[in-house]
Amino acid sequence: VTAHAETIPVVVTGIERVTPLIKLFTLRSPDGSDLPAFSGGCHIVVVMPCEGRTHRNPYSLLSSPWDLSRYQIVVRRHENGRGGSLYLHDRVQVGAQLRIAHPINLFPLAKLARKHILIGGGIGITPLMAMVEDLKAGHVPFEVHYSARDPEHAYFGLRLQRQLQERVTLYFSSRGERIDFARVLSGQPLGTHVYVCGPAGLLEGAVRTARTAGWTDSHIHFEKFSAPPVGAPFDVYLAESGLSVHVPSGMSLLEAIEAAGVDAPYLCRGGACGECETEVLELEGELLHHDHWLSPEDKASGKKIMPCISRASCTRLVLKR
Amino acid sequence: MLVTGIKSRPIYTTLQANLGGRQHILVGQGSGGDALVRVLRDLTPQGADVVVIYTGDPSRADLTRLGLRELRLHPIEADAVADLNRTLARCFMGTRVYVAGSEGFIGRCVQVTAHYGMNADEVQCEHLGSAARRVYCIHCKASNENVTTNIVRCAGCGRHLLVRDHYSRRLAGFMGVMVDAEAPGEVPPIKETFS
Repeated sequence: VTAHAETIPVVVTGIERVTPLIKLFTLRSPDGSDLPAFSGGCHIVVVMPCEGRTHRNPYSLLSSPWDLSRYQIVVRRHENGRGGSLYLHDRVQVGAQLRIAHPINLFPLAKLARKHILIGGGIGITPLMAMVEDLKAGHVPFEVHYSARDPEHAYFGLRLQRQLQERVTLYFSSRGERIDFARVLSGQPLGTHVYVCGPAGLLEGAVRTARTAGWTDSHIHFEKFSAPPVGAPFDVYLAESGLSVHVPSGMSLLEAIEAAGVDAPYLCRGGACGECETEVLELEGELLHHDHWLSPEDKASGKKIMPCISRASCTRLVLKR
Repeated sequence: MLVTGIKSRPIYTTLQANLGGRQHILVGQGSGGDALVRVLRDLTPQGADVVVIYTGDPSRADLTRLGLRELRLHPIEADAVADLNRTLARCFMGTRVYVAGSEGFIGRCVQVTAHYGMNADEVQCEHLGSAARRVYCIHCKASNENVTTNIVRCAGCGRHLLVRDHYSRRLAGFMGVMVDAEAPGEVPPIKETFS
């Protein structure tokens, strides 16, 4: 049984534009019953049947884990993406029926932590919002550091600051403010855990600073919300399924495999969890790895690929399944 | 009997200087002092911030001859463990702990590090010297120190306890279970097992 085999029907009961690029969607079950329980850091996959193809995009749950009458997700508009965010922004109205995969947590809070430091940038604040709801109910100290372009783009950061006052520090790049990772991470008590979600620069900066300050990896948690990049089209042969599949430029390898009718395993759809790892049997050309899962040695070997996010520039590619 | 490859059995390593740390707390007992000397040879030339806590006969270890700024000697093991506790209370993220000594001593030190939320990638343990076990009586909850036999009479309640491989990191001890509960008085032969 794969985790995505069963989807849950939901109905869109609210759509709110909260920043120039971001819309907040509220989802409820059609009969008003509670949705499955989840914890801060969980994401769901929204299944969007468009003409000719199905988008399955992961979104972090932002609403409180204590309120199961609804899920909330935020969607940033990507003009040049594969089309899922434009579908949600432009085509989905209140009352629309969608299907979602069960919540899965690849970015959980460390339950035995003595302190939590949450660092977010841009839309990376979404999993942190639900984590804060979990933390507010406990007695473990926590602080939030959030960086955004300007106040107009910091709707959720400002909302958190109103709730939590001095436990939230906001940084606006329009005013030249940046999170000083070295200061934030220094002098923290033993047993502190840091969680980072945001653009690559912020994530790498925070993780590098933590390691330099002597933090070990078991205390550093991050979620990189990369979307599969578009790229040149290529063809792939799936040995076990006996299928030839064309991967168009606006579709990920995983999406093309799914469109061909293969029920491939996945969890995160962002190159982080390792669930979709596949063996490369034959290759004439080059694999274009975009994941954070395979080791540098695995990537260089040309024997493994993560179909959810990686592509190939090749004349021949044979995958095991 | 019941001495099998149970997964909770701790796995020990050979201590190695972890230069990624900003502060290093070394705790040794008995012949564990030799392991600390080995780690210090790699740490001190780097100018690392080092605290050494040792219990046992210091003449057996070369620790006193290293000219350490922070060497704290304790004649009593429990005082060394208490010193580790006080020291960690003032430490920050970036600290590494190295423990060397008997299994019971390691267990009590790891218990302290766990209290401070330290994980396995921050705490190294090297087992040296005696294989004697700290045995926790699951009936009366007393801990029996330095047990070397497969069956031990509990100091707390007098029951004969079979010493299992089942280890609790929280309690820092191996589980001791009454051996003659089903046939009172039938205690199998007692043998030296953990010397």
